[in-house]
Amino acid sequence: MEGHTGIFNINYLPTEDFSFNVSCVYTDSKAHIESFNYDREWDPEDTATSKHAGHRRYYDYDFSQVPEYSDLHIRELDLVFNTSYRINKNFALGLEYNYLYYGDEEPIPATYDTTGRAHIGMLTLTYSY
Amino acid sequence: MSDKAYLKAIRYVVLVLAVFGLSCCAHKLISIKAQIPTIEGAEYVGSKACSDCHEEIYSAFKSSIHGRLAAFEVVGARKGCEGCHGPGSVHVESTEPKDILTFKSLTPAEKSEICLQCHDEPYWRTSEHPLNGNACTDCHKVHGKKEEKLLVKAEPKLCYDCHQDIRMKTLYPSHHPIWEQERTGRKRMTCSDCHAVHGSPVRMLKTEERINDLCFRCHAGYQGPFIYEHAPVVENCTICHEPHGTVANNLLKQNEPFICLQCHEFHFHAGKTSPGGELSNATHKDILVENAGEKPYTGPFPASGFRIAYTTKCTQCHSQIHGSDLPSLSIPGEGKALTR
Amino acid sequence: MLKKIGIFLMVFVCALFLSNAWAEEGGKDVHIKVKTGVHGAGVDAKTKVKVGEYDVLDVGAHPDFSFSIDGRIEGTYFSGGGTYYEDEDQAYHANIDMQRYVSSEFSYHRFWHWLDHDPLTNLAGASTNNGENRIPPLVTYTNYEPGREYGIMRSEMESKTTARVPMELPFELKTFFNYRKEVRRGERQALTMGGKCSACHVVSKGKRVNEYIEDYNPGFIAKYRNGIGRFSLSYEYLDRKFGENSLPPEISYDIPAHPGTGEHKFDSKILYIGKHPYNELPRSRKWSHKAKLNAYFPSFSTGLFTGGIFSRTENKDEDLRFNLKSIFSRLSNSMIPGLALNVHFRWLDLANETAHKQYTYNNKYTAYDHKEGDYVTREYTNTLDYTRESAMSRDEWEVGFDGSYLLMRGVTLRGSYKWRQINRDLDELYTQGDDDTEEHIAKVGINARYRLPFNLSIAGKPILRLPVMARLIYRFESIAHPFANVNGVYTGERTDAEDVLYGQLQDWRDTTVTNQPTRRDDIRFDITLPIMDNLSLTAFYRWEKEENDLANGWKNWTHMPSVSIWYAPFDKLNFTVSYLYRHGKTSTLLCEPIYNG
Repeated sequence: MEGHTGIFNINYLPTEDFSFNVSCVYTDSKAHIESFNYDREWDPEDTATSKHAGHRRYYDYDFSQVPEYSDLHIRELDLVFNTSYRINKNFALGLEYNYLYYGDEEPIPATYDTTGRAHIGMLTLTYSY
Repeated sequence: MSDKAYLKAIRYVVLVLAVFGLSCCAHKLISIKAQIPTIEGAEYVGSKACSDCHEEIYSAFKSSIHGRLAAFEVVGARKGCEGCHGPGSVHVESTEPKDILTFKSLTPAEKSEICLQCHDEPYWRTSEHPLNGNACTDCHKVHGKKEEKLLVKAEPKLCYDCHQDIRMKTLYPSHHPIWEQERTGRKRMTCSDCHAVHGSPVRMLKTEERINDLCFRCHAGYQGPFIYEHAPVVENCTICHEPHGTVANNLLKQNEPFICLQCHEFHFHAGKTSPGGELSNATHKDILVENAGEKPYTGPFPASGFRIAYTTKCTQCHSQIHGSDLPSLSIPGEGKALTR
Repeated sequence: MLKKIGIFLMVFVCALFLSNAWAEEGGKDVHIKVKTGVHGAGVDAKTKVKVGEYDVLDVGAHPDFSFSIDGRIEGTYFSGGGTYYEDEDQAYHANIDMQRYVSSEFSYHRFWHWLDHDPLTNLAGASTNNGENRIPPLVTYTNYEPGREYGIMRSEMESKTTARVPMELPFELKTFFNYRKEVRRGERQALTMGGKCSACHVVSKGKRVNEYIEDYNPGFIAKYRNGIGRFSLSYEYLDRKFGENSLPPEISYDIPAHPGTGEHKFDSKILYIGKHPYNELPRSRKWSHKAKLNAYFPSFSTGLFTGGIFSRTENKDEDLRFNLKSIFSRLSNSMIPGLALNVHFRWLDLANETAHKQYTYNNKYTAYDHKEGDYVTREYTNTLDYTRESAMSRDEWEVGFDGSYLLMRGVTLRGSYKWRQINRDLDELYTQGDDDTEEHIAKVGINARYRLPFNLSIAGKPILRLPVMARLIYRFESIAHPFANVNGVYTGERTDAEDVLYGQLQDWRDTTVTNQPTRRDDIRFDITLPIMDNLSLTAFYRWEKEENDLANGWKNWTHMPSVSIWYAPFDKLNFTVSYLYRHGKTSTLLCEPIYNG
């Protein structure tokens, strides 16, 4: 498996009444089966699996495709933007925006794609005593 | 180097450490006892005397938990400012910082000993944090603006200062909701929900039994005991799971089917060929539908359908992987397949 | 929605009036913070299960409200707070301290957890013969609720109350009572294998979840100190109940018929058909008693701690139980200046009784038998006698010692060694080599909080004025006979497998496989460099390698480097940038059985 994670955060207080924060987390993670290697060759004429009278069964032990439907590659991004303004001694106004992204680059099975985006916004009024 | 040689080498290093330490008492090395230093000639004067110069700290301290201790608590121990900073008579006269115990000048062990005068933490001295040179005051702050539990920083940010690898795992696709608590500020889960940061007989975890017993505090449905067990589950949850976070789903260390194939073999059915398409024989479809208890999917079937079915996710069939009291279908298999 | 906004506004206004009213009364000191607002969410996803796994993400605009209060009324201190974000996302807490006689903490929170819905579309396979007349076997599935989103609401309520004896006694005594209730409510996907023979048939239904875990935890702590030392004795009792208030889902299990001929010849091999429940979690209950004694002798810088725990866990539905007993003890000493030495001991005994169960199913069906060419009615009884000896039962012994030495101010050397032995009752089934598991764990490390003894500067600006913190630890583990699946796979060839059932093939498995190492190396290094007062750099690196020399040659290694920079160009602005990387690989031999069946 392999994972890269980047985190960025900034805090800014331009004035005593105003604060501003941005934080961002990005993750790119993969998990995959590299290879299947057998320790011996499989013989298609092997008596255990070949065609014989009365029964017809065919087997194929080539698993090189297995990684296609078990591998994972996921990207995630979380972005938070937050600001707050103090109106006076008692009241403050806040604004927050949150962006979430989940990217399922190799869905398993192909019909179950969990990729999605979400946007969340918040507006608040705070009273302190 | 073989395992035995490695062990021997490590044992020698530890022995050398011990001998070196013992010999130090015969030498004039800088040696600081893990005991609380004393100020010569100092006597106790009471916390009021401190307020003359440290008014702001004192007034905040009075309403804090340390300042509110009642006489019937920590019986026999000094309370107030001098409980931690030692007798203050010399410092009150001289106003010199060197004439009082200031935490900046103490070693981690000395700082911890001051706190341990009152705080009964039986595992602390033998646990990982102090052995790695941490003191109580690395995480806790008695004076000034602080977080819940007198922490210098809120969890988990406080823990991430040292535990970067864990931070990374909590951001992977499958994780306990530690990052969500940090992002939203709303209660989900933090490090101290599982970890006994002051020490424990079981790997700094909040249990004195087994690792599994910690997990069962919230996941009690899996503790059983079941009729049909899955041996690695009763052995240790962390054989398959990494609780901090993983790329594979369900906190699994590796994705299915790989994780299962480390201890089990494939089904032979995985090798059956199937070129794909519809069932060409209507009778076969009839047999399928007539005998099925629930209406089944009857096609079209993809190419390599058997391979895909048996090499994608074992728990689609073996869904009761943590154990079950109900038998699976097969009598020759003794019902052990954990499918029901 | 408007109603909710109205309620929040009313509460907000009330808080304003209350705080003004309180301000006029003496003997009180109260701080209140009230926050009200509105939030909106928009989602672009087929499923919310990953993008907002622990968020409600209810599309649209919704009000939210939070408050916090702390203060003092006469000698009673209190604090509290709460957040209402969504119906399934709330948190409240309250603490009260009544002049230290009684103090109590209460918390309640709930949040939503979206759960997976596996579409099962990969479970579609039909066997073939040269692309001609396709003959089953078959793999198929039934998904009753395709596309449905599953999720549960998890809530936890916790209350901790401590009462102290309000008398100035020569010792301190406090009693506590903790209560916790955790509830999971919602719906999750429940899978079962609905049939074999006519087809491998997996069925999925939604399962209503209404689980609870309830803890009662009373106890006491007594402390005493005198000129010799400080002593404490504690005892606590735990009663934990787990239950599921929802009924398990039910499906009709398939009638076993040959997929090619329709012949009903597997009746004696398939235990049950027809309607039965599945995915059922048993009710369970756990009791435990825990006692601890701690003593510290300051004149000798020596601490002695000993404790024990006894617990019993019962499966109430099947009348099964296991007991756990453990004794643990620690001795610490730091009499020698700068040297701390610790010894610890632990013993654990786990006994899980053998389970015997007889399952009896009366089966009856009427179905068309293609071989007979007519409908047949069959009524028969299948029984299964099963005995389970548990992999859990064992004795564990552990002894270890640690030492840390203050080499110089700010620099500590540490070393530790631990020996652990696990004697399982079923070593022959669950340990590599059929013997007790024996672990040797050794650790050496150096920690430094070091201030440079000289001054450095760049372009006139001082650097590295504050202590540099660094840590290097190496851990080595040698594990003999680790946990393994003895007879997990079959490696070899047999030609006497005519008419042998798959279950008999399983009895031929003869090779041990595992994912547990016999050796583990772990190196960890981290350093924090406070380059300047407004710039610091933290670097971390960890390398872990595990391997086993068994038949499946299991190996695992991981590299984890990371770097983090904090910079504050001026007072009002600071940045943190971090990069964390992880690369790991696990390799193992797998076994694929080749069998014509």
